[in-house]
Amino acid sequence: MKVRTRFVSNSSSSSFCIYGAAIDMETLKKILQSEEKIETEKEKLVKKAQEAYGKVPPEEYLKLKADAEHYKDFDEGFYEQFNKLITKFGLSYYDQSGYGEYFCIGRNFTSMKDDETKKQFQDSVQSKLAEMCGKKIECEVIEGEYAT
Amino acid sequence: MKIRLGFVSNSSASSFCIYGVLLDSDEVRKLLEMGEDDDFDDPVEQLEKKTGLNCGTYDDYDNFYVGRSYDTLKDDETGKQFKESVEKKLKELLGKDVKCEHMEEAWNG
Repeated sequence: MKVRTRFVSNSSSSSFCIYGAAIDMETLKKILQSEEKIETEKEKLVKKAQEAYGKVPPEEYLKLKADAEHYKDFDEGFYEQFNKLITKFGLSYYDQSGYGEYFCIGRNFTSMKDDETKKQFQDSVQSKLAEMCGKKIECEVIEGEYAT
Repeated sequence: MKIRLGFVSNSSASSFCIYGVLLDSDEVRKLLEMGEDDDFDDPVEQLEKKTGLNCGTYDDYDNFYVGRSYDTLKDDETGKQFKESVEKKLKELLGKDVKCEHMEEAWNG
């Protein structure tokens, strides 16, 4: 794959072309909060810290406790959880705004399989996004730039 | 429908993604049947007309992107057919096998 960028401003930017939808941060947070997987992960860490209490050196316990608390802080864990979610659905995303205002989520055209038709490709994105968001999402070809 | 999303800085940025090749100005002059010293006059439009493909370049006309944009994919066309159509067309035009790639370009206008 060749990616060449030439910006007058010399900023580090790239372009992308996906089939998908632009989804804002607030909507994504709601989706992530409803994901059972996130709770399970948090609970696992809390349990691990609780079980370690009195059995491991204090500094190790404090580290485990901090890890668990990190997961309780939803905003801090957002990107980690978001990446997990995206990977789970086999999608890609671009943080085009550069600061997480909204994300372009879908499939890059380079991921289209040799034996996959455009219709199948589009259907797969629509179905994955619908499953992820719990409702039908209007998809489009999105072409744009993002800061790297 | 295809949408273009602007850059955060609100600059007049442009981008495109194609499957194709990068040709130098000599190859393009040859394709357009131009003389070595002839100046380019709207070469992208001429190149698109001549090749039937999607093209792009910089202002300095040193290099030209020639291929198919992904939004030209037909509903029943597979990824393999899409790539083969570009490779076949470019082989016809250039008279030789060419190695095509996915190419992304972005610049501030």
